[in-house]
Amino acid sequence: MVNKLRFVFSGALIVVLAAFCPVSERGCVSQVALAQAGVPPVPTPPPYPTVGVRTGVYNDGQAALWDLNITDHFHYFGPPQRARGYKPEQPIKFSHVIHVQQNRMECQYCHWSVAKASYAAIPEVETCIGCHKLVNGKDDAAKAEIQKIKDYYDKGQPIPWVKVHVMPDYLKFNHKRHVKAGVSCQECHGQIPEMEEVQRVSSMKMGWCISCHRERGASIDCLVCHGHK
Amino acid sequence: MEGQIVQLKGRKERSEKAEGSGLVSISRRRFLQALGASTAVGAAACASPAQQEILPYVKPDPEQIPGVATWYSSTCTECSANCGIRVRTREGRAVKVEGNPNSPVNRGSLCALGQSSLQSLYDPDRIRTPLKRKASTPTGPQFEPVGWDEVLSKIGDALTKATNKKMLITGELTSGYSDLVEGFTSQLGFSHVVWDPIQPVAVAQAAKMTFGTYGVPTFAIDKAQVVVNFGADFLETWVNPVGYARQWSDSRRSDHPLRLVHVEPRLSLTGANADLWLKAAPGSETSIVLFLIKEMLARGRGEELSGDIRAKLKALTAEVDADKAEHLTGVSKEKILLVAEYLASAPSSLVLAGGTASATADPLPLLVAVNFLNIVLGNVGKTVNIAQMKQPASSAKNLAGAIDEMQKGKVDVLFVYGTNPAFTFPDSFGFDHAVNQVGVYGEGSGKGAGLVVALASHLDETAQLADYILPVNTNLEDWGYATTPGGAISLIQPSMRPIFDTRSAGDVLLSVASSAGKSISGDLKTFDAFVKSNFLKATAGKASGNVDKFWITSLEKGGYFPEAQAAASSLSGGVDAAAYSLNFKGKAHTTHGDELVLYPFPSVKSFDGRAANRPWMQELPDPITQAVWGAWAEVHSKTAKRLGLAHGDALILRTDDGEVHVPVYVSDYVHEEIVAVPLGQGHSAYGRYAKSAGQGSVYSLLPKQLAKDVDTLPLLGVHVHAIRGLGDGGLVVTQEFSSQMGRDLAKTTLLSAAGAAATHAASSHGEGHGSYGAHEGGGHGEHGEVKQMYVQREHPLYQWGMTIDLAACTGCSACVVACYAENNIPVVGKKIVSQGREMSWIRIERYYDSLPTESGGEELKVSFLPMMCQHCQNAPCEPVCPVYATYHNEEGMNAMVYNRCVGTRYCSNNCSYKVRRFNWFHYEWPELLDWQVNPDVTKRTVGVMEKCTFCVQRIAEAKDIAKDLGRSVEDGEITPACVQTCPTQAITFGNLKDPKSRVSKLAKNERAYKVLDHHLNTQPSISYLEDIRYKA
Repeated sequence: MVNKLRFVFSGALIVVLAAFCPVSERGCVSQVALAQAGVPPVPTPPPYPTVGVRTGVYNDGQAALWDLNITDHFHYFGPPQRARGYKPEQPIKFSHVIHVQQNRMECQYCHWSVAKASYAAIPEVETCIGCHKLVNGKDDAAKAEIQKIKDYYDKGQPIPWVKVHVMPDYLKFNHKRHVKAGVSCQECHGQIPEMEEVQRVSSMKMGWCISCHRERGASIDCLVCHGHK
Repeated sequence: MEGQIVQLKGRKERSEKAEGSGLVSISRRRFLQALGASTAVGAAACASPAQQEILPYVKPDPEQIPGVATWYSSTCTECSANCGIRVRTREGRAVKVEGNPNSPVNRGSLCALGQSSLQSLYDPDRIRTPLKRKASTPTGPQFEPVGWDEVLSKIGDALTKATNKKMLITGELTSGYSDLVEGFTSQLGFSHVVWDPIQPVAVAQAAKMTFGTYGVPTFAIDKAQVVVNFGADFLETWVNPVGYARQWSDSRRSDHPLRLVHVEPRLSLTGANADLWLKAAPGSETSIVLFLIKEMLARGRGEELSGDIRAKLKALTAEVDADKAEHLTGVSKEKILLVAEYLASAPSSLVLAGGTASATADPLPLLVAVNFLNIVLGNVGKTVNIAQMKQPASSAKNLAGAIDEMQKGKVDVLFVYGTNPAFTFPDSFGFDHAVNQVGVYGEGSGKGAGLVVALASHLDETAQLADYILPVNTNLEDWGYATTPGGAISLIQPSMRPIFDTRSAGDVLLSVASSAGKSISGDLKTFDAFVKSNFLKATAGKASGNVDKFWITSLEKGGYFPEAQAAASSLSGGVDAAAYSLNFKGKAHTTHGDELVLYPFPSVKSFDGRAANRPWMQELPDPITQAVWGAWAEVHSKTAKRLGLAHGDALILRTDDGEVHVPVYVSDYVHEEIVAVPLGQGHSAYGRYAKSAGQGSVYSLLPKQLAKDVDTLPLLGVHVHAIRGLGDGGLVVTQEFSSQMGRDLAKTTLLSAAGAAATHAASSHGEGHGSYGAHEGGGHGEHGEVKQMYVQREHPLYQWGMTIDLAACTGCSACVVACYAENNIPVVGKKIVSQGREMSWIRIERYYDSLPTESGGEELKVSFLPMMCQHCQNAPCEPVCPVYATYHNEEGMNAMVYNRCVGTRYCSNNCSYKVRRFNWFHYEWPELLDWQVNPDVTKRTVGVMEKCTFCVQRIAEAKDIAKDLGRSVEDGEITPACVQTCPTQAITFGNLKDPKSRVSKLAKNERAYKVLDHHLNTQPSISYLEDIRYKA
């Protein structure tokens, strides 16, 4: 109960602080991004519910009372990769909006190892080619991006994706256990289907993990996550 | 050497500080500079790291799930035992080698050498492309990279031009390669020479003389009640160390443990585990054996033998008696009679001889006499299996002959593969000089007509002599098969793709043959096809169903392992008449002045020299001396006094042929006449670690002399001058003391002759204990309500615990290397070890104690005590941690959270077992060795404490799998690296909470005790089971 209250309180505090915060991306990013990328409206039927990229994220990605968006931007609290809203430029402008929101692909079609191993693997280049042998893109921009995949594939090179969820070396995160326990992808990664470019919606600090573990009765023994990888 | 593997950050600042006379002398300016520098470093550490890339596969590998290990079965080729292995790979890289439980040779275990084979694969000094000799400079030969095609065409040219002999020198090969080489040499007219310095060739030849067949018999150590051993170090390096160690421990833990008597000049690992260790003068053991034969015949043993044999043996032993044997060997008459008594009264027995003790200039008398003794005792067919023999092919005579021919210019083409004669054959034979004469008188006289090609993975002393070096795959990247004496065929398959531009040596030989227009085996073009076809041929009729399916399942299992056949061997072949006319008298060594008898021995740390460039093996403390990095010279304390040597002094060993610089190790457990030096250190090439460890090779001290009647190189018997060098010899040992100080760390139970009744012995010099509390339980537990200062722990589901059976532990140190491999433990180098900052999580403590004998005397008892974090329930380390980095978890583990640790080292200070290791520096793995790093284990950084975690990553993995199956972890599903590799299965791990688990049963064994618990009430999770020894 105290926990809940604290979250409610801290959430409220953030809303208040967000007004003073110059870098606020709460709820508006997907719209902006959609507009920028010139993505046509979602085809019918049925309409995909657009709810904002941070909807459904556990505790709004907030580790604790003092874990404010603004603190992410001071290096003292960690490198920028650890900050909410970290959105690195990728070698290929891969859009989850097109793939997931519009074409309704399942997460596990590409990230197939997420329920099999601790890593949710980035799909092999061949997985991309599987469809893009036939799908060549609607406009020139899309065609150019798809051509990049083909080039990588022809050269036999992996696509050098930039890691969004950079985690420290001293911890173990097992995707399989979380997926099997019924934790949805969105609870940690946000509304990926609405992201043109994948961004981080939580700082993924320890307090954030711990509160969820406490709430769900999962183990909070240090050795569950630390001491091995 | 540590410069290579360790980056000492801030070392410069430290040395600058050290230059001054102390902190006070640092000027304010200097101080501010230093402060500024350290701030800059701190800021750099906090600055944002570069973006991290996450690279997917281009094409999915059907055998790989990212993050899940894939295992490949294969066979270890480090020594000739050919243990089955399973290689753990992650994302296509081999990260761990473990024993294959399917293999009848090692039954799932692996020795330290096998564990370290990964560091041969990931040797940072590996040859990466084909090389061509450019020039010889004073610093060594220079090579330049060339293409494969160029070398192969060059070889083709040389082969067609060659008018003189063509020669191939190899090491002792696995069956796959020896089959291929046989075809290669016969097709292309090569002559084949095999050289491996420590193959038991003499044992095989003695077997031919007495049993009629050339070969090393298979011994059933577990079926014998008494084993009398003359120098065969079967627990460390001899013939099949893992298999024999398992047999030994099976028997030692049974209701009727065998009694082991070991006779040798220098305490070996097997000697340290013996019930009775007898120090004999070098080369004198034959007299004891002859006396034993005489005594056994006199006591009516050997009645079933033919009268002829008995008469001859009686005649042979007519002159020996116990007094003479005592005079020759220095072993007291009472002890010799005691051994005779053991043998005479035992229902089954076994007499062994081998190792350095038998590597004399005339080894046959001892080995033949031992065979006679086995015959008299009726052991042949029972404990000596001459139906299943291993035939070593190594031949010193052939190599000496080959060198002679090369020197005379009769050899035009020389191939060398898998052996290093320039190092392991004495310099006095002049191998390196002879190689330069290859092709000198060939067509188009002068150097250049001939061709010397080394097929090598490492730039060792022999490869350096070659004109061309063809880089070949190491065993973990190669194909092959190895047949074992028991009829099993163990397959070798690559566990990963070749790292560099290397090829299988088999493929190279096949392509050389095919470009010369010859075919070795039909139309098979590649070595893997050759292996498959030969394997299927050998197992024809054994496959049920589809042949391809059989091949795949065999690869999966690790080979073809038929049910073990009962040893149906008996003495059929007659004894060679020549065996009776050997010179059994032997000759005593008489040394003068500073002369000592050189006793080179193969150590598990370096074997014959092949393990010298592996940092794990260099940093591994030798089980007996605890010495690390390089060689040492064991000298008896009396001898040291006579020669004016002190422990750690520099020592020069000199013969007419060479010189070796080694530090002195003063010990009471070597014969007064000998100086014992491990083989295989002091390389002048082979890699950074090998070159940095030691100066001068023991092989270089040996004269140009071959053994009499036997095809071996005599190692023992050379007289060396032992001269004290200048100053300190650079000896670094990890354990400077040998006494338990009455603390009962390693306990021993004395067995009476019957083997059943046991009495607990005070193992530490027979002193009384100063401890409080009862013997078994200490000051807590089942004895009643003892007040506890700390809250007692509750463990709802699991309580992980371990038992270590000291009766089975041989001290072989395989667990230490396995732990290094599994847990990313950094190798720190000699200097840092000398400061007491080694990082090993598990160490083997060695103690010298004495035990009372029946006759009221005292006998040496060597104890080995594997010591790692005890995961105490009342852990002294936990309450002193100011940041909660170490704490006790619900599963009974003393957890260590690296990212919480701030490095106060209070925990280490408070640890009663000294098992916590602190990262004083930031240790880096040099390129390529870092490929081995286990991705499941966090690499620790500077300023962080670390220690044994019970392999928490393996616990997590087992729990993960169990959770998928909807159950809890069952007994035996978790095997920490040390448990997995232990050749004797001395270590057991499991859930103490489960009363049915093996570990809980063992923890309640009457031999179980906990180290220091009765003094300190630490309540460790690790129980030790007392060692057992027969009362002598």
